[in-house]
Amino acid sequence: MIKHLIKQIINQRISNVWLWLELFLVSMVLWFVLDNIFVVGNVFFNPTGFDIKHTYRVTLNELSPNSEGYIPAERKSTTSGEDLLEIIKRMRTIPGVEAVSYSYFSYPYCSGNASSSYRLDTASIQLLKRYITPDFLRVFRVTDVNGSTEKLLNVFHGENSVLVSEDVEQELMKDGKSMIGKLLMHPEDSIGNKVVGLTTKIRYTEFQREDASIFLLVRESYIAKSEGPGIVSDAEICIRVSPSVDHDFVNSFRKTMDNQIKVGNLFLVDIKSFSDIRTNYLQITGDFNELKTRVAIASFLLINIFLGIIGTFWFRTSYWKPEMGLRIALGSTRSNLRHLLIAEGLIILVLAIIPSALVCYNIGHAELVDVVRVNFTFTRFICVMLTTYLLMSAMIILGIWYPARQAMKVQPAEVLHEQ
Amino acid sequence: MYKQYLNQSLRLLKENKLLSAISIIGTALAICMIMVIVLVYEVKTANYEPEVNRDRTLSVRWAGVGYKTHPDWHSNYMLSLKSVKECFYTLKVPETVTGVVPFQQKLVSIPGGSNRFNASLSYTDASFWKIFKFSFLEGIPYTQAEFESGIKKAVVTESVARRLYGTIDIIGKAIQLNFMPYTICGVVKDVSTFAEAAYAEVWIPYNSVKRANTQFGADGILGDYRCYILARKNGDFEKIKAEVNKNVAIFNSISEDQVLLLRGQPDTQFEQIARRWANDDSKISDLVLKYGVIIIVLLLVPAINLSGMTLSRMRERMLEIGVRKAFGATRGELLKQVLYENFILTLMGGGVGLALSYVAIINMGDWLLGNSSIFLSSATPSLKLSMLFHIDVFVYALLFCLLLNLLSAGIPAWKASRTTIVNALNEK
Repeated sequence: MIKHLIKQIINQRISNVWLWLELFLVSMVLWFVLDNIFVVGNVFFNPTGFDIKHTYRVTLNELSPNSEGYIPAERKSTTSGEDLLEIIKRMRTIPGVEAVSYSYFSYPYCSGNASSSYRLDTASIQLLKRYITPDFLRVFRVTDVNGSTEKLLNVFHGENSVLVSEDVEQELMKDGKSMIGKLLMHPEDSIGNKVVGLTTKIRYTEFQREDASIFLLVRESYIAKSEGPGIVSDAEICIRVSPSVDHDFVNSFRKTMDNQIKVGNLFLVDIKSFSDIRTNYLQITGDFNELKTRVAIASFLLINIFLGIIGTFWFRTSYWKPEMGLRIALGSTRSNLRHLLIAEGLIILVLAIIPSALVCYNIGHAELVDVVRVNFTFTRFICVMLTTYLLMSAMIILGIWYPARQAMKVQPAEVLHEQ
Repeated sequence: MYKQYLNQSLRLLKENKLLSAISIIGTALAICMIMVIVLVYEVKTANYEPEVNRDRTLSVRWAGVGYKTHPDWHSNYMLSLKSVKECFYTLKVPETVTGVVPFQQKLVSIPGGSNRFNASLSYTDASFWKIFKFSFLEGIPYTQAEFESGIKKAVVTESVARRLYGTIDIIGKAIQLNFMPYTICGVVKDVSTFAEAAYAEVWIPYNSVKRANTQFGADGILGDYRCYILARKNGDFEKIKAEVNKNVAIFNSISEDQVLLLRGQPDTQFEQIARRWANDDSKISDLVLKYGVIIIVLLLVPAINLSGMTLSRMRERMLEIGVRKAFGATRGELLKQVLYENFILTLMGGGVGLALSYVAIINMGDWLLGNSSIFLSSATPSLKLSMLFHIDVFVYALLFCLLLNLLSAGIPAWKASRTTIVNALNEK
């Protein structure tokens, strides 16, 4: 059967060469595009380490001396920091608010970040720094490896205590021992930070690989002492509300808080849900857009295969008709014939995809694909190549089906008579 | 002659509807995808209001600071006012230079009113209004003298005006920006968010507020200003870049430790597309390579497809070709005929494709144009049709059709013209 098909393919070689060339080219490009979609999909569905459902960010600002209602320093007994803490306290009293946190460079989808290199004995590691009040863990549901936030909160309070993500332990403690109680040293201070707990791996967004992170404690006493615009404009005030009050929360918050937030020279600028912040952030980085573009290119390639197949096989129907008539007269069934034609298409595909797989594997091996987020393994290669093959086969079967049906509608007697 | 070709190819089109449809769809898809790329390029680089001078504007959107004592330490943000003043305002070659603080969200209100909302506010100087040409519906921008005096005047967009007062006839009326009192001196048409440099909803002189620069540290080299330089003609770009480099070198030689890094800026409008973040070097060659490969794939795959089909079609017409040859048609004529006939098909597909690309860009602008302006802003991106309908676009479309035609019909046409009369008549 296969021998027979190959002979047939060789007989039709002129038009088959074009088909083969197209399938060869397309399978490589398609593999490249699908490989990227595979990576993104793989990363996207891993846990992020935080939860932004029912969370909001509140932005405050401070009046400048030219503003109406500005209270000059000499008539003020509180610092900006104390005013800020007062506002946070008032926000906590809103019904349905579960936690309010203060942080900087920390919230998910934040466009700024800070990192430093830390040392443990002789080993050093670059860590992403998150400055937070403990409530930050509640707001974004950051947990320890067993899924508990409360246990982390119980230990995260002493002077110089820090939390690190579990990948830090995996990186630094090669002997498998626990990292809890160890001192992480910052190059510019001599005291060191005592690790009191481990969080799960945490990522910046669902499109990125996890970052080894350190959580540094911001104490209320530190905030209270702070003065000047920086403490307010850089502040990230994030709140979690219970699902029961989370409908039209932005408007109800504005209504109840607009006057209550006017403490000292501070005033409410904005409140945004984290789902909006996420959308905005992903719009800037273009992660989703990039994905859509790749899907569009993949669809374009598949449609082209479909068109190419249908075009090529359509022409053959005129050649086929007598042959089909003969075959039917000699006892082939119609579905037999259809299988024969489809098998012909699939064999051309196999002939094209073998050399293309070789090229693709080398492209992957040379790390010309995305290896930052997911390593290039043989499994990944096989999975993507198989998907490429299946998608292309589907297009081929679809493309052959219609011309084949046209060809097989013939009455054997009529065709043979024409001959 | 050509009329006859036209008739003939139209007849052929009707004869095999399925195949004609396939050719047209295949061409249309390819041209559509390519034209989307072209349109995106146009929106990002062509001149339109208010950025009417893009072709002779250079921009410095980001800045970095390096340390003489620690060569591997860097910080990145934008320029400080001091850097703008010392390195850019002093330039002699360009026509004019503007320093702008890109839009930030500020609370806008009327004194005593309860109607407060966030709007994008940008701080500018007076030459901003020379580089960018806004259509003023009412009033005029602040002048250089007013700017220098630190006058508290504001220009607002039509929609801000309407939200505040319900009308645009509001020159001389009061507006509060984060509770600071200003007077409205001009009302302009709303600005598309795709005009990233000029975009805002309220503009005020940066001299009118005392703005702290402390949080950026770095000796006052970094700040939150961007700088746009208008050249007298775009042939001056190299001269301006050289002058900027000279100024920066002088600026840095005075400093004790910290130095201003421009990483190859100022950028032309095209160069700045390739520079997304503050710490990026512009990667033009990567960008060109990426789009080059995409366009080649977009052309090559359908071309192979169509070649196969055209070849089969030619085989069916061998008899005709043989007869034409027997009656004295030259190779050149046959070649021309096949290419011309095929071009009619390509052109039809191209027309459909171009139309589709407009539909795509208008309906999926967020995705395809992927602009970052909507960051922090409440505005939805607005695309104006005048940005899209340029003569360049049609020229590009025609060029790509020609190229696709040559790729897809070149080999079949060449083969058809080469067959001998005897073979052709025997349909071999």
